Amino acid sequence: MVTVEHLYHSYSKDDVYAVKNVSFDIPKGEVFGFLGPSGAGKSTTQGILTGLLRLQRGQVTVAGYDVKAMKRKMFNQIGMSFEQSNVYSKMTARENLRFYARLFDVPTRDPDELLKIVGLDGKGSMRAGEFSKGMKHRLTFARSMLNNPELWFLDEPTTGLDPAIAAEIKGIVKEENQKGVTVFLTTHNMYIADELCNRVAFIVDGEIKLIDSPKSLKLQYGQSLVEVEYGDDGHLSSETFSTVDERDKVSLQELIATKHIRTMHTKEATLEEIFIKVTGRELA
Amino acid sequence: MKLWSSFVKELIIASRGFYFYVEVLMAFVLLFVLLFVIPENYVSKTDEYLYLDFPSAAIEQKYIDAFKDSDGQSDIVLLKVGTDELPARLYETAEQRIYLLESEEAMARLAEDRHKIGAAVIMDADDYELHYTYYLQGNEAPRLKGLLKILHGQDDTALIAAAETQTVRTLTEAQVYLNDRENLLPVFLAFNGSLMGFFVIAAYIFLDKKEGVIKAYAITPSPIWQYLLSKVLVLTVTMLVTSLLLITPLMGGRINYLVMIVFLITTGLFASGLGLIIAGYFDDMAKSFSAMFLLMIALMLPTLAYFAPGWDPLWLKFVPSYYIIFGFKEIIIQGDMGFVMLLSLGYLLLSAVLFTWSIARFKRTLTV
Repeated sequence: MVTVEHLYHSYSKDDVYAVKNVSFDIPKGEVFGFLGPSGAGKSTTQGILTGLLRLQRGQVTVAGYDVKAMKRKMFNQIGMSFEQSNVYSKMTARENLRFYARLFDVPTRDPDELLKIVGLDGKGSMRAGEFSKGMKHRLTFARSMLNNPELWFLDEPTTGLDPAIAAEIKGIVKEENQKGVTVFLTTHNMYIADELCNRVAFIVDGEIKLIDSPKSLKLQYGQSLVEVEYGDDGHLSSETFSTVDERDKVSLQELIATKHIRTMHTKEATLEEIFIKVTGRELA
Repeated sequence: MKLWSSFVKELIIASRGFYFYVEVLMAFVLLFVLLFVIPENYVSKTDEYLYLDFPSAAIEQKYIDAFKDSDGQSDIVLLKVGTDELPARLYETAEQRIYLLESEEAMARLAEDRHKIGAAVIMDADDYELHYTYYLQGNEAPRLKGLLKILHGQDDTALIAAAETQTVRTLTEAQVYLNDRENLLPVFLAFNGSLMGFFVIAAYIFLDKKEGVIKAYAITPSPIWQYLLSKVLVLTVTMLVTSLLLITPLMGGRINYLVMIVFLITTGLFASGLGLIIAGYFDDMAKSFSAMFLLMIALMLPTLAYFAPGWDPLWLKFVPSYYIIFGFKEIIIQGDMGFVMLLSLGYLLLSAVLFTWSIARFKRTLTV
């Protein structure tokens, strides 16, 4: 669905690159996470893929279209939810969605249905200017689904949302992905990336440092240990066992059989820990 | 269909915004000024302060009777100078209010206080010769001072006889004179109707930039030119409404409305094109202020040539608003409509150039 080869971009049009030698591809139906701190080159890459920035150097194909000779009809197949909410504040939520729906050449979704999906049911007649930041964000998110996109660009889709709404948004992304929608997720939130992405790319200083699935990364960079908390004569004790050492395996089985186990956790690394280990930089 | 949707959207936003009502209000204010503040033919009367000292009342009355256009009727008025009130006889003519004071001192005080010209006319009782003393402010034109010096240097009758023998010939017979209201209309139309458009369209786009909606539009199959054109169309409709609001009460059915509408549309398109260019090169209103201000000043310069025909340098004719003002005047005086249509074609071509330029600019500047 997306192919990027040796992508470079310089805002000053010199050797100072915001993005340098970036290559990756996203097969249809995948949720691909683009992880990096602010200024890493995430938005620049996304800008080029969506045609907001002119391609300077490299090869980029999006939804079967060469970005260098981009056709407007390409946008019938893609949707984009921006990090900063960008809706007409003087128009109502419904008017906003209706207006954008008319700009597509493909069948579009019912604005009221979308408002309901993002939890803005009953707010259709309210002007977007009267919305809270979170509500505007949800309206921006709903707009990105209008044309049933095959390729969905999500830029920090849960930023600034309360946990309940963020969970709903994640649920919608999963649901759409199950229908076959390809998702390009740009975020610095490792939890959402871990939960949603089939693969993630770590980008720092305009360069991709690593691309892999969260599961594989955790196995690769995590420790093979299990931490167990158990009750021992009225006291709470804890022990750590290796999951590869044979003696530890036996001891763990013995402990499970004889003690009252309170908690048991594998000591796998979080994506953030892996990011720091690989790039030497923090995500935030 | 997409263009229509964008146009309807722009109409909704304009009707819920500030600038639309500013334009309509401005049109009403200008209409009010034209209809109720500016008289159809403005005549300014000058105040003159005189002291007359003649040997007899009969001779003085004869002198007064010679005041041009005076019906010989006078009123007694009190003129305030500081805390004093000075009595005077007031004679009104078509162009002057002549106050006859009771003393030369009173005349001099009033001339000084009101910053006007005063004069004392005294007739010698022995030889019946007139003596004139003028009280000037010092800032009068050298020509007036020179005229006053020579005026009494020879026999009045010779001057009058010489003036009567001069022949004044009108070279252009078909000269059309506009009344004062009509004379102001071309300038009001140029600035309220056409040139205001460049400021308003830039304001609309800066608002969209602030809200980030241009980026959202760019991720749709609808081309950017339709986005820009929808704004231009809304501006054109607003400008047509506000301009016709000014024109119809003043001109009634005395002008060619078809030509007027064509000229309004083409000049409006041109002004919108200027606004698009400004909005394409700046991020917000504050950053564009200097450019907008300079452009506005440049576009206002031809107004000077309109009101002071003696100052009409060649370079001024290259300022685009020059022909907007004179085009409107040509329509109002029902002059050469072919010339106005030619001007319309010129503005249409200029608009096309500006529009193409702005599309290229907007395509390049849709940054993330």
